[in-house]
Amino acid sequence: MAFLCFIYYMKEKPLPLLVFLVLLQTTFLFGQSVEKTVKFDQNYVETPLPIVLEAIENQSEIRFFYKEEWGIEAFLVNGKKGEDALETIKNLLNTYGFSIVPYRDLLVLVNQEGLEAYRYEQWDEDDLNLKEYQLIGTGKPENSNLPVTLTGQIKDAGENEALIGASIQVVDSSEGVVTDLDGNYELSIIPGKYKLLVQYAGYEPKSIDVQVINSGELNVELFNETLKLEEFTITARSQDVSVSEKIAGREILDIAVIRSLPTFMGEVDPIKSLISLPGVSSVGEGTSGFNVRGGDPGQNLVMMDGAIVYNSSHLFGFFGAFNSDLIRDVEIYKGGGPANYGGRVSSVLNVNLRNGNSQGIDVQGGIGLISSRLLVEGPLKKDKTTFLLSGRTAYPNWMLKQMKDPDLYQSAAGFYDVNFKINHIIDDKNVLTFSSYLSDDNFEFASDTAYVWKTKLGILKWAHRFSNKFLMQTQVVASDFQSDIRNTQESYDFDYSSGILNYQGKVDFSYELGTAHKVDFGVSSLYYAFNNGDFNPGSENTTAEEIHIPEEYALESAIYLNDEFVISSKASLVYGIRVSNYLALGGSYYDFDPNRPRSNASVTDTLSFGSSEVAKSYIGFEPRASFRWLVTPSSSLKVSYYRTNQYIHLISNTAAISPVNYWKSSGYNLSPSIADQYTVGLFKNWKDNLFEISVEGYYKNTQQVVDYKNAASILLNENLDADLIQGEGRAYGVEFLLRKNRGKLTGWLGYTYSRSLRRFDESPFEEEKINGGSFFAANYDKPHDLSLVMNYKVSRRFAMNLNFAYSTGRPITVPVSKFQYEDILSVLNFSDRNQYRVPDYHRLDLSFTLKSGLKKEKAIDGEWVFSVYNVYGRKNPFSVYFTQRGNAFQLSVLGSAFPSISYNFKL
Amino acid sequence: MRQSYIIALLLILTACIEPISFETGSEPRRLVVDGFISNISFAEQSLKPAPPRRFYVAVRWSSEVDNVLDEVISDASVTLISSEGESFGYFWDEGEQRYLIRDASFHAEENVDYKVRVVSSDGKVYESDTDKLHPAPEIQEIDVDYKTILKSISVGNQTEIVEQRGIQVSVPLEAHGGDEYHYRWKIVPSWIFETSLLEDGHPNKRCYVTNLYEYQSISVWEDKAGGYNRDLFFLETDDNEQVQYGYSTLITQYSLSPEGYEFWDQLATQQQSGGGIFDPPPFSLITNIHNVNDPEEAVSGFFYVAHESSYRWKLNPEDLPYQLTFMDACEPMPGVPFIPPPGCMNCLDYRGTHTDNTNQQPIWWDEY
Repeated sequence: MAFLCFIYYMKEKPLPLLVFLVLLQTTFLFGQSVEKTVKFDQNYVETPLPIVLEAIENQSEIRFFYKEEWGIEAFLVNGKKGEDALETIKNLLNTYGFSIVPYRDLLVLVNQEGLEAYRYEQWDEDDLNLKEYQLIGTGKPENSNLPVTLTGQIKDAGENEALIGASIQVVDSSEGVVTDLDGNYELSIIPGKYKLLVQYAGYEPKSIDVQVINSGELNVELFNETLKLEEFTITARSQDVSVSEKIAGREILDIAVIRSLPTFMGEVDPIKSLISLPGVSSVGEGTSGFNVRGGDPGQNLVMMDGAIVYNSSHLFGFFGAFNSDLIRDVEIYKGGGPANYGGRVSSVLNVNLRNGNSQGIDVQGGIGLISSRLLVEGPLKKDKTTFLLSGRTAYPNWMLKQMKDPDLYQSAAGFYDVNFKINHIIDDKNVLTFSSYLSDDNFEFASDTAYVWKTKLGILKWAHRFSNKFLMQTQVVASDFQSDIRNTQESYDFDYSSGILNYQGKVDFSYELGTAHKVDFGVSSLYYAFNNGDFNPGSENTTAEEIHIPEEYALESAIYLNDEFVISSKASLVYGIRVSNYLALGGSYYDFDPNRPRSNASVTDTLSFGSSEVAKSYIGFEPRASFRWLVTPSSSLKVSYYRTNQYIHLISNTAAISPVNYWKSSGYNLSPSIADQYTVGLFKNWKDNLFEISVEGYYKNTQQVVDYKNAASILLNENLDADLIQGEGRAYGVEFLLRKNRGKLTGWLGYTYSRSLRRFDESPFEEEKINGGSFFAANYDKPHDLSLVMNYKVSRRFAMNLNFAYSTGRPITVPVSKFQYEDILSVLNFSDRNQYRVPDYHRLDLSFTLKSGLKKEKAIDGEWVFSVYNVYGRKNPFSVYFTQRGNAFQLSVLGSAFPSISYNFKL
Repeated sequence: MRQSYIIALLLILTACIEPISFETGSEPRRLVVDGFISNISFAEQSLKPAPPRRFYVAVRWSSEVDNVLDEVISDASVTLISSEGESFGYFWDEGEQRYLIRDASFHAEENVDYKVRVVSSDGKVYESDTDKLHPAPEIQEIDVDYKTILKSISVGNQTEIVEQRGIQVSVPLEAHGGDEYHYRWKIVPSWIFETSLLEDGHPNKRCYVTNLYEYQSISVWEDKAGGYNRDLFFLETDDNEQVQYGYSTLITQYSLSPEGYEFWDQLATQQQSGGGIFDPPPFSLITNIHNVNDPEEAVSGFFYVAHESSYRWKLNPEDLPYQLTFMDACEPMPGVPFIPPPGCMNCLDYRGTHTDNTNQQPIWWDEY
């Protein structure tokens, strides 16, 4: 079945021509082929340069841009047909003090001769060219051989908001940093003359010539790309970040990259796009959650603007939980991350939202066949307060009505989500932010059963600057996830609910100690209320009885200290410790006879705790360290170790997250999971960061992972503790990545070889072991995982994107023999758990983007995106099931090519 | 189970289903013991409107997954042992291909533990754990509710959604205090089949058909306090030839021990779930059979003791509050080469070997 999905984006925004005019020092961009010769196709006599440039544009792929105020129409070209056009133009420009310089793999014309030649230079007081540079600092440095500190903030020039993860680099060197959560950066640099390059995806890069005299400040404003000259970079990462990044396992995917990936039905899903990175995988299409380095989906800490999100998708995983219009970037730490993060053993994922536009009211949106969205943003008080309000809703019911299944035919589905964010700058030392999110999913099944999931988040953040070196951020967060199943059928009516509610208070400090140390420290406290299941029959329903699984409460507190220590220009060490404390409060627990396997029959006592009574307490010491050694300016070696404790467990005995899963506290019978992860990686960039290659190996051991006994029931199980078993998880792997950052062809090839194994052998009882206590493959163990992402710009208007994914089939348990029992001809004996695999997964997606004309002033800036998901119609097994007779069938969710068209435009 | 079903359905949006096979290699065969006893003796059962049945123990070998009938073991020695020190021998019955207790009056007694012992011809001794009666209120009646549901049917290559009238059959469970009851119900339908190709009075025109395998889904229920109805099955009436001339079904209720219930509950779970990503991992069922001298030997099956009661429900088409019309499967369609379906020439051949057919009206047919 093929759906054509037309999605319209509307964006009302005056074309900021000014933005373009004050952009880079770049004036002309030649086509990608630097060596290419273009010859005049006619004679030119005293012809104004712009006319000649336009003729060359028409004749070749080379494109020119220039600042009108430079008056280059006064430059008159004389040339004969057949002459080398570029050479003639170069000579002409040279006479006016302009020149052509190589800029990455392009030829760039600059209006000041010789800029390209700048290299490291010692500061010289007598430098005649001093006046041509922006001066940083005053006076004389104490020692011109020691670095001074360049600090500042990188902001969006249009919306005046800080850009997180923007990079500022010293051109032709490996020096460079990325801005922090407030858009601030700090760069240690030896006094001298430099060309700095400031970049952020989706924004025009800016190069700034500076003369650093002493420590000082440089604030930079970047402009949103208003003309699609060339997407120099598709990521928020600076191009050498893989080499220079001090924290092993950190990756940032910018929204521009996320949008460039081919989508399923035109729905951009930031979390799904992470799966193209090595070390991140999922169990299949239409599933929510993701797996990082052999961990299960419940081991990922997913946060939106700092608030924990417990449900990262809509409608069983077909739609992302986050509206891509609001997202600035997605940052993932594979492993525990620095010491300021804690609570999950596999990964930390930050979905960072942008602030509202401070310059004027802006409306944008999209209307699609399945979902629509609208976003309003603007200033409430000029230069002080901005707001952003967005909503999204889905209406897939018409699709369900096409279904030939009676239950689906009678079903109804939908969701909505709303984001609201206010950013208020009190003064230059204090900023207040309030961000909230509301999401509601409703799936009415067969007209009588309704599944409802709700997420409510609220975050209040106060950022305070004591000094340029000492910052504080205080956050108060409330996060609530509730899942409900309701039946409205007469005499069968019931309401089942489960959920998790938490309140969090957090204070983080950041202090810069000289130029070598950046110390982060803080304290956080997280209060949980767990609803592990509540079943209430309706008044008409006399069949069923009320079941109430006692609530659990908990308080998870932590203090941490983290130091980013620049040992030398080559070596850096980010190390820290997190000390966490977990108090399981309340709940009702069973004591079991230690001489028998845990079951209802082996209960010896029942213990009930009041909601403020400590049932069990745990303390965790979680050291973290990440060492980076710059072997050369373009290559590095990184070694890291992370220990992380996870105190809450996602109760799910299925391969993918399902709506009946819920979160449960560690407690009297259930211990926290503790993970130790070791990594070592080599990172190498070539050709001025044009290519990067990396290989990173990891080994992760997790104690007390949770699994389930055979035939365990997780729903409304009053004695769930007896059905849970804890054991050892062992994951290891090697991740390879080859990336090309610039040029007509950009993209990456990632390959991971990994294993994720589990062993449950601690109990003396056979019932509490899995597979007799041997190691076995976890549900999401996929040894080979390959992804290829390519973006090829055929011309400035036309681009192609390709995404290919391959992975080993996931493990399953299959019947190996059968027997007759009573009148049942086939009762199946199954293999040990996860001893077989479903067929391998592979899929190719393509998308083509055609942009509207390149004129600078046009009413609508639009683009058509045609994308085909699963181009060659691979029937990937979503699940494999067995009939009672043991016959196996595979169900492919998307067993054919799946095209979609969308049109995006800005007004 | 329903949750996973829903999600699987939602994902059928664009789905396709194909067979797949796994190289499972050679799994060593296991001994399987299948048997039960109840409080109703053969003699007492014979008075009920039900086919006679003797208490049995079947001993077989497990087989490859796609096999149908397993190899039986006919040379074992099988004994029932009670906690009262009694033992009852089973005897091989060639017709039933299993071991039977010949004593027609034997039945399980309350408060007595029973276990079964199987000694194979090579001297291996297998025993079950003990089990005993857990009496529960007997099934006395059923309730019927006329309903219309939607179902999908295939017409040519197309799937269509149609309304289907039928009867929801449920069993009332009395309110009670004390311990919970663990029930299992077994539904065995019988109906009349008539062929229009044979003249009235022909002995093979009308047959009484019983199908043990009609309701394969296992109905189990843990009842904590009672006072409500438990749905058993939905009988479709539109286009259902079973209700054309007369329909009758035997509902047997077994009250089980918690262990017996666990086995049947696991069996029900296994029969309903597969290897989907929203399904819990499949598993091999518990067994209460073990090799006395070698606990490591993998053995399958279960021996249980049930408190049994039964109820026969009969439906005549004229009892329905609406009129039914039926297509005659034995009538040739004009212009189409006609090969009469099995049964049209002789009702005993109806449905091949899938049903028990007789042209003699069972004695219980009109009495109940």
